[in-house]
Amino acid sequence: MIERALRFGESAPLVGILTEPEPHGRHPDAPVTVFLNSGIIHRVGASRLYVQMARRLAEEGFTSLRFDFSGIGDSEARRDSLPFEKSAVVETREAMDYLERVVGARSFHLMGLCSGADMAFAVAQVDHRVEGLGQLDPYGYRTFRWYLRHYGPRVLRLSTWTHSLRVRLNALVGRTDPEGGNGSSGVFVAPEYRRVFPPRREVESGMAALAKRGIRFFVCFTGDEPAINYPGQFRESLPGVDFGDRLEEIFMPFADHTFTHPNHQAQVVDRFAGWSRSMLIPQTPPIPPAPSRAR
Amino acid sequence: MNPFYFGDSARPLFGVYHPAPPADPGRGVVLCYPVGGEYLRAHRAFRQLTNLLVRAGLHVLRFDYSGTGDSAGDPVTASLEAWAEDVGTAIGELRDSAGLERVSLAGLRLGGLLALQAARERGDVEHVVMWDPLPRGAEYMESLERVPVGGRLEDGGPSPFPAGTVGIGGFPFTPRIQEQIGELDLTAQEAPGLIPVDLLSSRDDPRLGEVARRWSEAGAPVHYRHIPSEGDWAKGDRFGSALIPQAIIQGVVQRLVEGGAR
Repeated sequence: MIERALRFGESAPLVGILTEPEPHGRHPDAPVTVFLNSGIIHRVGASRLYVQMARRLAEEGFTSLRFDFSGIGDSEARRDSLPFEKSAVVETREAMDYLERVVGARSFHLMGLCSGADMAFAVAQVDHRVEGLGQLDPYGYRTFRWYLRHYGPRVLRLSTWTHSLRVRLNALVGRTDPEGGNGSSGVFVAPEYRRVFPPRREVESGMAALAKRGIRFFVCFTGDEPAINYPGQFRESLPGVDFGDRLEEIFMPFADHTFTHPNHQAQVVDRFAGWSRSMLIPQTPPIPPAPSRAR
Repeated sequence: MNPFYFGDSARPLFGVYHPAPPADPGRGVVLCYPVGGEYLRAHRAFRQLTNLLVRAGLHVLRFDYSGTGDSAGDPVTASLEAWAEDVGTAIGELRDSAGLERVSLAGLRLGGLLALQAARERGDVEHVVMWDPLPRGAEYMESLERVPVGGRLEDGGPSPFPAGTVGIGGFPFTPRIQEQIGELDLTAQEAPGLIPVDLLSSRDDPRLGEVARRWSEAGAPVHYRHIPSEGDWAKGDRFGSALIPQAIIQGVVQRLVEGGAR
């Protein structure tokens, strides 16, 4: 494995690390994976997850780049006032342009956690060089089955009813929940990006367009994503998307949002590497739209 | 600013070199990060500290220890000897890059102890700033929330970590590194000779004051200063937020710019 520190970018000097496999084990035509910051965590990723993934991919023969968006980690802030949602897309495309020039990349996989997943989705929609989308805790939507699983066991528990009664009584006498509040210390700098899930239809329509393009998906939800509570919910929640066999969906209810448990890191790294390997095997092409019948 | 890999090609370290403006006199600082989850929380504060130091005319090199950040290596093989050696490699790199005879060191938490150790072992360190140093490693290890690691993964596969490894703040700590950190005891260390040392703490810790008093009595130019600042390095949130305690950052800058002189 070879790692190089890079500076690139037209609108702001961006810093990244290119991780390449040894020349003899390289898949020369395979897509290059680009890792996108999660919140303000710099390019090593939450719990150093991106470093682990990049090095594992290199062992498997794949090249990757982890870089910092402007104003995050080691990258300079932009001088314009472009909002993060737009600058992140521009800068990811600049990273892909750079990789085209420097390592001859022709296609890409994007991987991101949380806001990184959101930006990966945004970029994939506007850039046809993206052939694979890896998302950890992306937008998730509740289904009928979610409600059954969430509320089903609760309605049978006495404590649910006593708690509900206590909350209502407290509200009547003006008391608040002692466990409430965000515990902010005032010196923590939280991510600037305020994550708002778009309406389900919007995500469904975007995903459907990507699926039609033949993009393949790696989606992993942790136990910290409250809208997801069973395996396979992502596919089920977006019935208008014909994922076919191009979606690998994992549910890790035991893991937290930033994969703080090293065992969980090992597991998701392994699954992502497996998914990247599987991309070398041709899969079912997307079904072309049926020709409209002449009347 | 120059991000680059340096050191032994078998174990390259990642660092970012920030040269001082050309007109400024030649002085430089190697910044030593804390480890584990504290490293992630401190990254942004180190970037800010770097900008302030460069603006004040100092060359700065900040770098990741082996097995951490972007540097080569796996945390499973991490050791305090390797990290102390990395500090030495970074000192040599900054001296070469900036053309300096001697450099200062500033380290946060465990990084402060690694900086002090490097200063004791070398003759080219002119000043050490220990920022929120750990008075006792054993107490530090006991205070951290830990999860057992090892055995089998949830999917049935074997865990890649040695028996006895624990997860702390998102990072694996092997029995070896736990033991090594546990044995660190700043309160029992001898005075570091004639190297000026600043102990800066955001919490008033009488033990650090006692260390400064004892070392001063032994003739070392050591000073303890409490600079009240909010936040706890050991406690993060689930979104990976950064901690930027402005008052103590300013204190670190001030002491480095003054260069250990009183």
